[in-house]
Amino acid sequence: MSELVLAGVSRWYGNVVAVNDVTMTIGPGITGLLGPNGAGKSTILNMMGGFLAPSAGAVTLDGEVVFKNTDIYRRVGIVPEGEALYDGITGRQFVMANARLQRLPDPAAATAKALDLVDMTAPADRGLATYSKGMKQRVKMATALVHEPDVLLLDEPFNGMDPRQRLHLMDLLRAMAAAGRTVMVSSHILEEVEQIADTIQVLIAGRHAASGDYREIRRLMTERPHQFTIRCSDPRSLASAVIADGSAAGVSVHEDGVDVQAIDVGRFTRLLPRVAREHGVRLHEVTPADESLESVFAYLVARR
Amino acid sequence: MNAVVARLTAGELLGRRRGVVLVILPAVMLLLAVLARSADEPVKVTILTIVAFSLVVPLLGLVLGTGAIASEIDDGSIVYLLAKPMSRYAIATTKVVVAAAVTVALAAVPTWAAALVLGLSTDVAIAFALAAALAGICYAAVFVLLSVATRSAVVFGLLYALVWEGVVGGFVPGARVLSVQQWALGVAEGVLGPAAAADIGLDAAVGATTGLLLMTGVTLGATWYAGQLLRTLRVTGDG
Amino acid sequence: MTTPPSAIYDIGYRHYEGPRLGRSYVWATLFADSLRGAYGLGRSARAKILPWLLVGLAVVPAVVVALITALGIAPEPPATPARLIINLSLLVLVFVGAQAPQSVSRDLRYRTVSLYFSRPLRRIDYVSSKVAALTVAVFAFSTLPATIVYLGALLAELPVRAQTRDWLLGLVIAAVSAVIYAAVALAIAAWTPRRGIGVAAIVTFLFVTSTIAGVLQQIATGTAATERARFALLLSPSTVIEGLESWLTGTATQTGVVSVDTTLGLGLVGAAFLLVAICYTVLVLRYRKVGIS
Repeated sequence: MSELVLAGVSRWYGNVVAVNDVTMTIGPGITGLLGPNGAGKSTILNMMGGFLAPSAGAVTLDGEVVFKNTDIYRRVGIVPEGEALYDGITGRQFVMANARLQRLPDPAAATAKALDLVDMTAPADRGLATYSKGMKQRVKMATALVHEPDVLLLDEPFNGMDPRQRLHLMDLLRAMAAAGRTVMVSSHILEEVEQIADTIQVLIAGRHAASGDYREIRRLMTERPHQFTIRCSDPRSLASAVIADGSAAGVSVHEDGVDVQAIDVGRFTRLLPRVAREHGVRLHEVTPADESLESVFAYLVARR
Repeated sequence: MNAVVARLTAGELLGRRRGVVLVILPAVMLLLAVLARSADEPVKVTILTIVAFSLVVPLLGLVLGTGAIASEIDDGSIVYLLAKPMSRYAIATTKVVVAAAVTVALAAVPTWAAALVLGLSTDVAIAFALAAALAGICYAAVFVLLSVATRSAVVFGLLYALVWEGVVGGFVPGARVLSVQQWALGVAEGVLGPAAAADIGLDAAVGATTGLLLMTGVTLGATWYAGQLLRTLRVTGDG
Repeated sequence: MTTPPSAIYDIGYRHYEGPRLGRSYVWATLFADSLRGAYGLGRSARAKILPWLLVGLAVVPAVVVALITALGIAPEPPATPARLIINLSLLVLVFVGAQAPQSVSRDLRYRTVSLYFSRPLRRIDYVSSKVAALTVAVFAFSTLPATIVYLGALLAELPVRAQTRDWLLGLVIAAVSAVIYAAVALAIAAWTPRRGIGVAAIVTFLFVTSTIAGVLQQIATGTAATERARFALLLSPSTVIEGLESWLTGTATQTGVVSVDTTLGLGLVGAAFLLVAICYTVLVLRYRKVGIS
């Protein structure tokens, strides 16, 4: 169980503030780091990786400062974004080299295990230069997993992966999280983060805009009405009952259902079944229409 | 010093295409030595000095010193070495040692061979080879440092190696004291002894001890400072 | 719910049917951009440091020579414009070695070459405009010190005709060396997307070849086999230029080794033409292979 803590961290370059007073705790499970380009994600990742010192505040792993501290790399695995790897050696040799550099007692066994985890045992003895983009990503994962770290920092890990590989990687990350490891994924691909992240940390223009479960964040976004799509047997009477109550800002009626913009979600969710029963309306389907991470993210980005 | 880093670096330096190109410079030197066999002795020494110390040794030191680390930093793959529980000084030292070893193999040994092919005495050959080896080690360290310090290491390194060493170091009296070439030749002079050195027209700007001290100091200092800079290297590939 | 019918909406996009500036305009634009890039204009501040530093380093000896002449310290200029250009060849070498990759490596590294070729720009236009731009850049680089020396001679009120003749010869040498160096440098730089490697390769090639030629000359004089010494001049671009200067000005070469007679002179001209032709062909062939990825 490892915790990465950023406490009041800022980073500036001359007059440009890249990261502005960010405080967050990354604990066990999968955390997604989201943000538009230029939001400061790469700066934060560099600081978490111990390659960059914060101009103010501290980045600590279980209480130890990470900057200029090479010991943390026993517990941290980093999967960088760049595609560049060493030429002229095979995948197995590369992972083995990483295992040796980690001072593992049995590098060969660890290498085999890591390659098996990422499903690269078969092509492991081919040269790195012959690998496709997805295969290179998996080898990079293997190098980060070979020493079984408590913390994994991944930068755009789904780049270049086909759907099958992506699902495989998601399963792998979920397994790591279930085992109590701390996994941090920085990504632009919201659908994928949505599927695996327990918590998200949103960074916009260097500031920490939101954190937590994205559905919870959605609920906190009270300024924007929540959309519900309801398929039911008697749209008109349901619509009039919902409007009469006052927990909705607007209702639109369709042939087979209603779209409701609810302001007070808590009240609306208690209202709906009661009203449906009172008016004898059968509810076929109730769907929150904009609870995706995409809409949360868009709202946060537009709001600033 | 780390064996794994050493093996990875050696693989990068000697990989197929680069290895072929590296052999060209010493081959050219040996070819010229063969052609110069018929010249007078002072001319031979001048030729060897120019070709070995103004051309082959600095250029090989540059190519190998930058080759050992510059492309890794440039494409971000240095993160695989930095994200390990390994001292940055160990990384820097290993890189310098490997680059220096290959430079010695490809510059000092051919210098010794070229001297013999030219028909100079074995003493002279050994003295020059030793000087080339020491200069090569010094250049390797300096260029590794330069590669960590700046992205344009090659351009500045070339300016130094050619303009400074080749021209200024050769002719401008005051600047000669600041030239690795002269330090190395000073050591050669010391090894040969004043009489033999004067015989072949060798006159370095510094004495043997000074030269040796300066080269050692610069080599160790450059390696240490490279390690220092690696501790705060931003890995731009990561995010 | 019925879906609305598909339609294409008029958002005011107009197709342009009017006159277009042709190939020559594209060529001229690329030429101007490459020429300015050679001196760092239109690029970041860092790109300006090296070329202007070299210009400064080239101007200093020229000013010194001009002052010596103008102040009458020496009866004749210590170096003619043409000879000065030869003496500064190391600086010209570094200039062309650093700026040729500036011109072509960026397009290769970021794969924008294919963007160029998807416009009305033929491959041969790309090559010829880049070569022309770098040639003019190097010509300007060499002409500046030559002109400074000429001005110094004029200030010293030396015979105008003779000095102007020397100056014009200097311009010829500047032109010749520009054509040769630009062609060689670009032919080498176009093979690698990495600027550092391009610079190293060009400078190494020019320096190594000129050193070899110089060494061979040294060897040959030592044994009075001056025949061989003369032909060593053909072995490297720098010495070809040196030889041509010696031939045109009727003086011995810099190293004092060889005086160039008509046969060797014509041989040098032939070598120069051959070298430029080869480089040009190499460049055209190289850009024929460039695709989208």
